[in-house]
Amino acid sequence: MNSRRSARPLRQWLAGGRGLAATRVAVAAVLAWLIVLPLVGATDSTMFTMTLMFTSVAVAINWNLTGGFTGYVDFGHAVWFGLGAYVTAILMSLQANSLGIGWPPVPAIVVGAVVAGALAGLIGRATMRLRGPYFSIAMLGTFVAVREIVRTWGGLTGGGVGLTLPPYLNRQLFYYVELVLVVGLVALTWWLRRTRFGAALVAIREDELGAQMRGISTTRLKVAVFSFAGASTGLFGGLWAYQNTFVDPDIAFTEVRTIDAIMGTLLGGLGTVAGPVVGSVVLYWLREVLWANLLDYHLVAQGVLLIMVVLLMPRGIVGAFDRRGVSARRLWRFRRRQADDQPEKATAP
Amino acid sequence: MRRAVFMLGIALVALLPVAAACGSGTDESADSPSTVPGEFAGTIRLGAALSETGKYSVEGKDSRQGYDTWLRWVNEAYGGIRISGQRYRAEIVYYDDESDADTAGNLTQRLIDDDRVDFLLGPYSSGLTTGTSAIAEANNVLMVEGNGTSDTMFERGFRNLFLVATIASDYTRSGIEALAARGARTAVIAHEDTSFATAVAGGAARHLEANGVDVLAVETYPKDIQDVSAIMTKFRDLDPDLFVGGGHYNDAVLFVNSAKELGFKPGGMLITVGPSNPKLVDELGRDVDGVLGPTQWEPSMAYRGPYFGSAADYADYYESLWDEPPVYQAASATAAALALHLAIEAAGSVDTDAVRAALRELSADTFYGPISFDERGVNVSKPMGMIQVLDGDIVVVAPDDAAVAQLQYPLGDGGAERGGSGSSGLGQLPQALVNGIALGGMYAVLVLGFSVIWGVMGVINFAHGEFVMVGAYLAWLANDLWGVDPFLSVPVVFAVMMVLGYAVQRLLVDRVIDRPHLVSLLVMFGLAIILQNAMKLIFSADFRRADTALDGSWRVTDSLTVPVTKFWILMIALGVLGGLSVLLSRTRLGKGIRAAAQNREAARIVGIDVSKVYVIVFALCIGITGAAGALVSPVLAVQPFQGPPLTLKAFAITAMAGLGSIRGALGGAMVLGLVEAGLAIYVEGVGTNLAVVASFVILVAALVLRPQGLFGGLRPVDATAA
Repeated sequence: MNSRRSARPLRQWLAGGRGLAATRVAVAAVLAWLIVLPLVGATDSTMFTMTLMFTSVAVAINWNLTGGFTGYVDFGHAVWFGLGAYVTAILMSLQANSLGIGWPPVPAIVVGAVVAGALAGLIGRATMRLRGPYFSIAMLGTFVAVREIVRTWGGLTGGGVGLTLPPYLNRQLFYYVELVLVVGLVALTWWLRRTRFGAALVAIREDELGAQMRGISTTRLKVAVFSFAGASTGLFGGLWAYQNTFVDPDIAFTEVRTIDAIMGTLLGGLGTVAGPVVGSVVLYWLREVLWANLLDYHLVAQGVLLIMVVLLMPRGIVGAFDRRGVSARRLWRFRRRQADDQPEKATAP
Repeated sequence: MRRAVFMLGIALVALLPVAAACGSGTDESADSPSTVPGEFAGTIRLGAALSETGKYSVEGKDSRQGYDTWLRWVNEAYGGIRISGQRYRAEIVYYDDESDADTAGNLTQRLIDDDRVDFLLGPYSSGLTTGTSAIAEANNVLMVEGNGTSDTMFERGFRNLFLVATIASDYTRSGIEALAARGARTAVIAHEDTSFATAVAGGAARHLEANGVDVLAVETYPKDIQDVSAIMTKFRDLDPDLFVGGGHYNDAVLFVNSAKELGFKPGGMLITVGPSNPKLVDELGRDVDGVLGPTQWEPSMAYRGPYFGSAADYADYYESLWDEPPVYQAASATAAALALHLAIEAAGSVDTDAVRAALRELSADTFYGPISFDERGVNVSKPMGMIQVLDGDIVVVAPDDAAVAQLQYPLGDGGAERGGSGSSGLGQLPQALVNGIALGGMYAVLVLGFSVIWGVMGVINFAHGEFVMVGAYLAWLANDLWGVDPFLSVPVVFAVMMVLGYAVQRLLVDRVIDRPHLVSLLVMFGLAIILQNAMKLIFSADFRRADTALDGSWRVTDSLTVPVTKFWILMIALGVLGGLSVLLSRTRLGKGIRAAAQNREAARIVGIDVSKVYVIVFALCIGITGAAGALVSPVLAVQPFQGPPLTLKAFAITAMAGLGSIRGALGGAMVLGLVEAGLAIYVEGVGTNLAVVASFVILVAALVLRPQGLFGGLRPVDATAA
């Protein structure tokens, strides 16, 4: 009796729909495997590899919040990563050319995330008034400008020399912290897709004007999400700085992080919950394979892959399976219509 | 072309061992022919993550050859590492860190955990050593290195990091001591704002003051700088005895060229990176005569030791293995491995604590110079050498025990020619204006194609900078192979690039032009990645520069010079802009283009073949863009990754100017050029850095404040959301 009752929700959960049971079992199995991995003798090296992967997955999830859900394609997302890393480093470092206050890591990383989120809110208020490619390019400009400001402001940031942090490398701790954070982020996006808030975000992408007319405060929503994504990426930046024990402008602010987030999300499926996760992991794996066998050619191959994914697989891996996932094709078509409207609205000069 | 084939060959050869190392972690030395396993009592395993790809691939290869030189020597010539009467075979596990900090860290952890190496050898570059040495420290594994010399990593109190090379802050010490002894009294410093260059410059400032030399000014500039004329203008007016500067190899080229262009003649030019590289003499010829530079090591140095013999003997052995003479990065790597080897023998074990103690006690004379470490782990007994380029030869002139020739100072007439300071009543305003207009002319011709493609087709050409880069390479190639002046090859480059533009339009752009912006943006971005890395595979990441007969400068007054090359670029830019303007406003084709830009559907209805218009516009603009690349190939360094900053500047100018507006492109380019030149000249210390930030701040501000542009363009803009 008892066992039957406890089995019912499980069975229900498992029988959620066609293909859903298998998905859930797979997700649970992967999660269980990730939890026990460090306990069954994974080396520091394996855990380090995994935390780097968690980082790229998390950045892709955050990018997807604005890029996938609201349709604002951010070409400078890595700026929040670098800011989080730098604030953490400035607070923790004891070097004379930083504040030299030597905070403990937890408050430093949290403050790093808060600062990144606050700045994302401020900059988002300005740049999110722009649309389409203008937003993308303004963010790219922001990314480069912030990097150069960090480089120039040597009194606080150590300039081009960078800052060193006290080395404390407990790989297992980092592994679990980042695992919990990534799982939390996935759960959050999953939940978001099921709320009015999430629906409003998608409405911004589908028809921002229409959403406004239905009483949605689009500016507040999209800036809120942008700010949250910035804070979350900043959090991972802080964790990364702590693990790397060293930041300088070129390693903290690297375009590759934005590119990887975009590529991972596109490969997995734009605007889906699982897309950024699946895409980033596949990308990581692909890169290891390419890297081992192609050396310098792997970067060329990556460019070819990007073009092929955009042209031939616009819905990504997850999009091909998940019917409720937002059809990227629809997304493409819609935004083109919007672009086509442009000339008609215009008056001839 | 031979170089290209050679590089491909290197890549293919390098592929095999690395694939093997990645797969199974097996060592390289197994294929050493004369090694008979039975002779050895065991194996001592070392590990190194080195850059075989990415921006440090060249120095990474040199470092690896340096380590392998020791490996071949210790196993074959020396007979294995000797520990209490037994001989142990050495092996080195290598990984490619891709010049990337995360990868280097990850691989170092893998070397420690999975490959269980006994000791680590350092990667190439200060940045990568700073990150990986922390991992070595946390895991209590010794790392001995010779190619990460920044002071910061030795201020962290690490016990497990040892550097055989001279630390960055002492790079200029022997040179400055020698110059001060010859009467130098004032100096200026310019340095790249990276970790290594800042440490070198900070040390130089200290050594200058300690030797009674006044430091009149310190200027910083960002990595990959393309123009140092503002810094050199300021320095010219200070009229110092010494110029101390540096960062990367390319900066040395810029300093020498710019000093010549502006008539800046200090008594001595001490450039921290570049002069010891024979390439610099090949590239600059007589202009580089008299230039001084530090060197960690030269084959001509008078050092010797019991292991490789003299420095010259080492160079011979190295050349017999690799068919090229050793650069100092390779010698430093060999010396690092040798120091570790000697410490292991002295300790009589591979125990970390015993070997660390032996390293601290080590005092050895080697082909590389004396080696003994202080409490930080820095080799303090080897002084840095200083070389001077004399009649095209690189000769060691300091310190005295390594010198083979007399230091020449002051050069020529030194700073004596003008006597007093050159600043006049007008100050630097005329020079700032000339620099700004010259820069603006260059930007105008560089941005035009981008602006018109965006304006007419609505395609944001994210690969714009890469088309500039390809055009620049074509001009450089013609210059290098047949000595064609880049100004003469412009028409040919234009034609070739038009064909490339046609192909790209047909293969890619045509497929995405009806899709949303994100699609075309990403496709062009993918193309940019492909072009960058393909060009890097063919030509390597070395900086190149085409030679033109139209070089040098016109001296108007002592404090005003006009750069000749940039003047002619400006003239041609005005010609191209005028021509395109006439094409658009006066011809039938131009009318069709404007119609297609304003309203594609309407243009189609009135019988304009819009897709034909697009093909013509795209091919024409790529032709212009490539030709612009050819034009600037004597001014901007030609290299595979020169594109992205140019694309961003094109964005900034176009966003400021309005899409497809020709007058706007010129106006926006001039504004940016003048702002950059003004900041660089008028802001003390970090002006050149601020000039780099300026275009991005302008970009964001222009987009946010006035998204329709300042000049109005071909295509009306509707940039703001809802």
